[in-house]
Amino acid sequence: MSNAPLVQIEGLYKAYGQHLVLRNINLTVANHEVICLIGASGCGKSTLLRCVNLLEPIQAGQIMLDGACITGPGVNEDRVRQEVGMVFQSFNLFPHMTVLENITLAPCKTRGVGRQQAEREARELLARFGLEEKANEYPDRLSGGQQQRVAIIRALAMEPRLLLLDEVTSALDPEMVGEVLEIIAELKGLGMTMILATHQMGFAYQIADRVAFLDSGSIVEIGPARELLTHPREARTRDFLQRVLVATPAGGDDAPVGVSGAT
Amino acid sequence: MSTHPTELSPEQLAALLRPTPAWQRRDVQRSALIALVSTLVVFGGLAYVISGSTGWQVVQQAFFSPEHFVAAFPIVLKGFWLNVRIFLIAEPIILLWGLILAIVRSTRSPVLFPLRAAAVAYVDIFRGAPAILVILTLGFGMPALRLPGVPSSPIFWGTLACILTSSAYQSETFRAGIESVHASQRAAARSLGLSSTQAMRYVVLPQAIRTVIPPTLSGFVGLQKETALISVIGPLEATRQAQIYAGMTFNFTSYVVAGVLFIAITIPLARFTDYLLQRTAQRRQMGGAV
Repeated sequence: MSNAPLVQIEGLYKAYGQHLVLRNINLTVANHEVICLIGASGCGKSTLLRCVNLLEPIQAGQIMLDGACITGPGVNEDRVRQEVGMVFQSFNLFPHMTVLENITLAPCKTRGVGRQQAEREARELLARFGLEEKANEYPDRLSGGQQQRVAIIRALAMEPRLLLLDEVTSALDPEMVGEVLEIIAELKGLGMTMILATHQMGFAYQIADRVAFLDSGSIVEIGPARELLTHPREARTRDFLQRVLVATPAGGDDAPVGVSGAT
Repeated sequence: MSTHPTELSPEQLAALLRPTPAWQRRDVQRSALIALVSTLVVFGGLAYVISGSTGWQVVQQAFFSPEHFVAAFPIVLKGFWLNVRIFLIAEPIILLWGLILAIVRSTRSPVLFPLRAAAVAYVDIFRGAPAILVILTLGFGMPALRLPGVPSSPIFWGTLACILTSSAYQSETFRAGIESVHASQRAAARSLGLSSTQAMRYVVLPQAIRTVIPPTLSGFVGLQKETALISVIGPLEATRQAQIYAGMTFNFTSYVVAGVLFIAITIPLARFTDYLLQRTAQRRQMGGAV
């Protein structure tokens, strides 16, 4: 059943108290697919990612992972999260642990992987992404870009089936955005299924199979990246893209926005 | 921005960057001089006023008699050893019990509500009640019950009273530390698949405890002094020994001896706390991120 969708979100509603932040979200993500969520701040894209990772309880609807409902009663949430990695805007590395300890904590404690094996695998991952020298550093000795790369590696160490990336370049200085986006592009090449919330239109254009535009908690429009970003059907999508395009210098010939520009 | 066109020679640059010894700098010398003069004025003035007072001769004899100091010292020191032992036994229990209380109060599960409520009540009562009342109540009340198997030693009940009071404070210190760890740290830990207990143990608590080391050491000092209160129910600790000596000789120098001993043991702790606070401040200045 490898052709069945990996993630299926049906009729999802999420509210904080009386305030509805997500309404009737329906989204299907196939294996190896990369979906970008775009939209203004506060449109609900981060909340949607947190719901998929079960960090936020939902009020109605359901989320299925590989055909099994993960939002119902009796679900082992920890088990689900072990298969769904998440990377945050503010890195959230554990400051009291070295890079290596940050990466090996979860595999050792939740999977029962031996320390030596976990460290060997962590070092392999670090080497692959050019961070092998940082293994024994503490996070506050790293640049923002390096911290975020470590955060991505930390999520990868759990060998997740799905990776959620929540505006992972928004807290970075412009010159560090590229190195983080490079990793994500590499992951796509490796076939990782990903959902990204992003403000980087150019990057969404390059990497996403499909792009979903959210506005006030609803998916207004979803479609293939090129089509949606260059010829949006909905007026609200057009308005949003226009605002973003005006705010940032134009990128390549056919890309709507330069990769390194928008935040 | 300097508009000077010439570049400094390597020697000039080296001279510029060479640190001047602190004591050679004029502002440091000036500060030291001001501090010295003001200290002399304040303490000299105080000494002049006090020693010039009509009652000074009597007070000096009663509180600062060298002969009585020497005579009382071994007796009070022997009592002080009991204070130290009470401290050494009580403090580890306080740390552990305070941590347990703090963790219980930080739980969210509805099943644990009764435990949480009990912890809140416990902290409210023992933080609010004066330590001396707790010591009196337990010290005189519990042995009077004559329950079989319940110890009647006032040292036992006095120590327990100190533990009950100080652990209420300590748990609040730990709780403040736990709450100072940003929610995103817990979220990051949970997103990796760690259970809430694991997130607490490996991610939140290590950071929380680091944060509260200085106030905890301050609590050590408080407990060391609190052990003196146990004297009200009888154990022959430093204050009680001093009291007995004063009662026999009509001279209060023994109290000064006890005071000197308490201060002497808390000063290293206080300096160590200062050192830790300073180190934390320096670290914050250096690496701001996360």
